[in-house]
Amino acid sequence: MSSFSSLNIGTQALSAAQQALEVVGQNVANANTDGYSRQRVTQVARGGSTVPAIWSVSDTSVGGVDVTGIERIRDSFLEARAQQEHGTLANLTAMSGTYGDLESTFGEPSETGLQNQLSTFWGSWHDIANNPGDGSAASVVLEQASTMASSLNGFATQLAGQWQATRGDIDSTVSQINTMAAQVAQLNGAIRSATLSGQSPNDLADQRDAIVLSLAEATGASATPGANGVVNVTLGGRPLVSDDHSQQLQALGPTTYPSATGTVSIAWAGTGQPATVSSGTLAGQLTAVNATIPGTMTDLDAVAAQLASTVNAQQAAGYDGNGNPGSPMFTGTTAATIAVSLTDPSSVATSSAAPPAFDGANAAAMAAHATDAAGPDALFQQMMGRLGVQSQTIQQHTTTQQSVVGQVDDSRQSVSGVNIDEEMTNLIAYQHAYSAAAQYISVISSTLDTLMTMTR
Amino acid sequence: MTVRVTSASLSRGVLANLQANLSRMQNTQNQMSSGHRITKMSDSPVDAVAAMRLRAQQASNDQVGRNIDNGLSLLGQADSTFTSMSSMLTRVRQLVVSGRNETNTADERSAMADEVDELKKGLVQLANTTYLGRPIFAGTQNVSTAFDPTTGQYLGNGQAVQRSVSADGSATVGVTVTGDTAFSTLFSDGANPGILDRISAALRDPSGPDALDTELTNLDAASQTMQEARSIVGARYNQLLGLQTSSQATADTLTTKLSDVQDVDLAKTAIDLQIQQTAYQAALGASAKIIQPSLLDFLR
Repeated sequence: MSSFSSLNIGTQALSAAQQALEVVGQNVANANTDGYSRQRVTQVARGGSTVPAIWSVSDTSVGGVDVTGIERIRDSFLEARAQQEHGTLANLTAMSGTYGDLESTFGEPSETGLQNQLSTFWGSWHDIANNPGDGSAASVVLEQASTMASSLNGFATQLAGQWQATRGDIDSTVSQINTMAAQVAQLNGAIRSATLSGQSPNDLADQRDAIVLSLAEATGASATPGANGVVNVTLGGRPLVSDDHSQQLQALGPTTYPSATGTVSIAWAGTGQPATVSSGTLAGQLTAVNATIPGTMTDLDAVAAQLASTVNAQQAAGYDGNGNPGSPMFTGTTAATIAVSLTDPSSVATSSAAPPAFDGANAAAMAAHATDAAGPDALFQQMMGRLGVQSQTIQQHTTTQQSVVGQVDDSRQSVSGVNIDEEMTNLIAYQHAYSAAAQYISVISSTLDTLMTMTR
Repeated sequence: MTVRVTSASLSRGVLANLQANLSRMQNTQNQMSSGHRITKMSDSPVDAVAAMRLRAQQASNDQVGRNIDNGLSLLGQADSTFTSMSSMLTRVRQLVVSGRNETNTADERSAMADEVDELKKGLVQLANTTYLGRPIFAGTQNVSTAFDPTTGQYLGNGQAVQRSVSADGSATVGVTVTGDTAFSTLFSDGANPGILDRISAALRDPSGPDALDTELTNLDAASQTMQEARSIVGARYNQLLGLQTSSQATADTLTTKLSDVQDVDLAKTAIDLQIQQTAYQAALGASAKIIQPSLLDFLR
């Protein structure tokens, strides 16, 4: 061991402390950066040469310090869990958005909604029954009927609009997913090259992991770490990103509503094979276009069909103002197509007695349909009840999932987040280490001085 | 394991809790300002559907109330018509009784006959009383008058006009009596002349008013029939009044129920809001104290 090797130890200590201070600086600078994982300098004590040689023998226990790398502190299990939980939350959020829109479309319970229009409609038949032959009362009934028909038409249009908007969202989500998958693949490539050349591509890895989390939110994809720092992303068991290659997705199925047949689905662009999307925003959007919105439309169509058939059947049972059997009041059997076909107030079938009698019994019978057990009112109430329960369930799940995600994020933060107090403590520790190393060098320097002056 | 607490997780937790506090306060404020506990279906699906049903019931109950009011005014009209007619029939009876008197000259009897004719016209006119354009004594027949103004023949049918007095249409109350039952043969007897015409003819009869004896009996019988019809009208009026009272009671019950289901308990909500405000302020204070200090504050 030479005297100068002691100086070398001091230099290494200085540079290690310097590097550690830099890392502290980096951590403090990124304390609030989203997705940043704190970094730590890994130091090892350097021994002497362990390979024995004839002329060169070194003291194996004294060799200074070596900085072997800058480690990114991250728990891959927690990350995987976070991806899963974030995916579920995104799925629930998308579904709860759909239900929120549906609820605001119908706007029940209110004093102006369809329920109220139905009540007013049935009530106006009583007014005819009280005053058969009064054209103004019959006109009111026709007005109420067309108000209801246009409300139903409006609901159908809004539902179709919501479907259309969600279908557009699916396309843009798919293109985002494709972009993100490509970015992850690109970053994987960069990280692999950097790792192979011995660098610490921590910031690239943070950047990539943030995108992987977004991918998980969008699709419910899961990520598994691969060799040389890369991450492979799989969707429904098939690779979405594999090393530095990524696969593209595409949305298949109808693009307009109501479509003749088929559901919207996601497939792999290369092979056309169906892709399984079970979670994430995309799954929520698929549920909306394939189940929630069409289901609500079916329910609404049933209300419209029941309204039309109830009113038309009762019309046919009576006689109108001209003494003829009543003709159908509504045409169309879906919410989108229902319309009032009568325009002449005298064509409202008021009387149940044949001419020359003209009573209001048929109108009274019509009014009584308001309380039919399977009438349009009951169907609409059941439909709104179902919608409310589903919406409430989704909202409750969302709230629960939000707290789960919060906990998982806290756990991740507790591993990867920057704690200022800790960094300050490290700062002081490395500052002292630096001072001590400097002091050590100056002591060695003075011993060398002593040696030099001694030999003079 | 000691959980590392980082400034990011601290601020996330603080923000999430403050947000939760704020959103609870917003909910409570919404409830306070709208007065409703339910503003959308998912707030409480069961209560919301109940509210929809109750609103529908309220609407049909209101309508039943309107039907009853309508029936009451029809019956009221019938009753006042009967009152006028009955005083006119009394006058006819006086004329019959005095016309039967042998001391009257033919001229005097002829004058009496003229008055009976006029009274008959008046009675027919009253029997043709309309309510909103329809004769009230013609049953459900679609005619402009219940009795032919010239021949006195009944043009209506025997079906009383009904008003439905329950929401489901199961209960109805007849709100008119038909002309053929109320006025029997006063104005005509089928195609033959009625009692009044026969009285007028008997008064004019040169051979003397002997026939008036029979007609007096007939007239009394007809008056009796009319009084019976009038008592039916009165009974139905009372029935409807009873139904009106119960319909108003139902309306009150429905309003209370609806209010129970959808309206906020103001006192409770106000206290909730106060508690939430206090909690929010406490959370803000605590957050300010926790987030602020770090080791930096103590390093020289």
